[in-house]
Amino acid sequence: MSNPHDTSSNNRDPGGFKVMVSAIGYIGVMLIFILIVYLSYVSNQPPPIDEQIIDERLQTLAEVRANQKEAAVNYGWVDRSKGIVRIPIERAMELTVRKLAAVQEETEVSREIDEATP
Amino acid sequence: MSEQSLQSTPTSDIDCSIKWPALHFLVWAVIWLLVGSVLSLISYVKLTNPAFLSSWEWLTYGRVHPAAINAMVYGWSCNAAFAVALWIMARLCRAGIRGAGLLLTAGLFWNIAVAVGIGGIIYGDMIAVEFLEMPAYVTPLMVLSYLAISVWGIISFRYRRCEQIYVSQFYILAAFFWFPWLYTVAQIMIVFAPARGVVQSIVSAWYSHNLMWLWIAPIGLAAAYYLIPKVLGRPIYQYKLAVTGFWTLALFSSWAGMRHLAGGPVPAWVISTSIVAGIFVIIPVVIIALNCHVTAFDNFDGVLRNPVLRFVVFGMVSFTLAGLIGSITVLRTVNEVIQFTYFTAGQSQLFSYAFFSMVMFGSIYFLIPRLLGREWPSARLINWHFRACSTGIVIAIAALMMGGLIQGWQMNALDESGAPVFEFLKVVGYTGPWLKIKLAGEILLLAGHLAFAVNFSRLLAGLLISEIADKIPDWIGPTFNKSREVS
Repeated sequence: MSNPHDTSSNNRDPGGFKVMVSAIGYIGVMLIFILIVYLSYVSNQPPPIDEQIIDERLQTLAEVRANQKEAAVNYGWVDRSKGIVRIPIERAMELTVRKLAAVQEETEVSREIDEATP
Repeated sequence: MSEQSLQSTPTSDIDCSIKWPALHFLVWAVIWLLVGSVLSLISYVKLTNPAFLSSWEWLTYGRVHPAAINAMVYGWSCNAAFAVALWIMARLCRAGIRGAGLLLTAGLFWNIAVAVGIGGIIYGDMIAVEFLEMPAYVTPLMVLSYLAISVWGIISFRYRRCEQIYVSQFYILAAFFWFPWLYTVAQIMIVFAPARGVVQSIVSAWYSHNLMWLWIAPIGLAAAYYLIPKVLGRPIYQYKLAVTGFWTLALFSSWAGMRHLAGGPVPAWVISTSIVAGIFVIIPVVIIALNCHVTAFDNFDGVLRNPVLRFVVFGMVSFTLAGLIGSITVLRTVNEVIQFTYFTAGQSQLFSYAFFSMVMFGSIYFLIPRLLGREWPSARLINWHFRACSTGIVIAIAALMMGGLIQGWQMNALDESGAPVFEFLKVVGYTGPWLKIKLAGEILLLAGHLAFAVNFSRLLAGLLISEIADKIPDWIGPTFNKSREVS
């Protein structure tokens, strides 16, 4: 244990009520400190220089995301003259899985034929 | 027996008053230590092999690495700090911790907040600011639960039953006030009402530096100042110097954070002030080193034989190294080379792990037998823990620092025409072997932590069995109770 620094008589036996008041007092003082920091800082905070740009960019971002979401879950034409369509991602995944399963089945059948043929 | 000791609470009563809250914090600390170690291991495997677990977006490096750091800082370090600091405070004040129930509840809420925060990081709700990555919705719960935990340390000090004040109490009391100040100011200025542009970087650098120097370090130093003289049974070498060390640490280290921004678009005086303060930090570091090392090395055999002191002295040697290296790297010419390299990660690990975590391990090994009245089940596991962790952290830090120095030199190397000698991607590639060495260190650390966790679990299992057995009446379990008596 490190050496003593100071001496002061402090032999007290506080009751539960006194301790609770002290605890609430400490927490209250800390919360008031936080509130003062927040209020004094926020009230003196200048508005962002590029507030308008931020709003415009957020609006553009929201539009881009809405368009992307719309394209990801709906059917639509990509090029009507060439007959190219866009399908929802879920449907595309189903078709891809089916296609891969068919290829795998075909490969297995041809392997079995190869093995069976002398 | 002195008058003072007659009036103070007996040590066993003090330990009893904090037994369950401290155990609660330590159980969480061990859980977070394991979680953090595993996440850290995953993040370093991903650095050496980017294809590892690449199909899970929630396990990308950008999420796993901050989750690991937060688990280690707010999970392991803070829980260990709460247990050790409150216990030392209660012991030195010779007054038991009051409000154990409230302390347990606050501890539970703190850990719920940390769990939700780390889950938020993994989920993708991360804030891209060092040490403040946890989402904003956990901040109020963290602040309130922290206040409800720290208040009992302050209450203990307020109603202390001894005449002396020890330097360990200085550190703990100050840390209990510093952390909420740092955390709330950083949260307000970066997350809740973000300051303009570069001010955010300044606040971030200030917070991340002071989280280490004004929260983690004081608790580690308090534990070292308590344990080294206590275990060796001799006073601190120079007590007055210890107090000077405290005040100089408080004065200088809080200014030194902005040195990390050297070369950035920050007012020059801010960085220059930090550099000057960073150099002055050498004063408390030398004072603390002198006090702890002279006291410990005076009885070096005792240090080697005692597992608690091995951890604590290893931690204090690391603190001295971290402080000295920090005071050298603060210089602009050195900072230009090591900035944005793995060297800074090595420095951070030297401080947060090699110093703080090792001191905490030593403290826990000392604290638990006194708290529970039970010895650790396996001395061999303690030895394995020390060997694995000390070797692992030395390997990890050496790899990061050496790799970082070479990385910095390569990134700054220019030919005669002023063009870079090394392409950036090649420099990144050259760090590969160093990261593999660092990974080996991480594996050793995880092994050490597992040894610690197994030992701790066995201790808890023994405690639970004896607690349950005490409640079993003789007519229900006579055979069981008899076998316990015999054993």
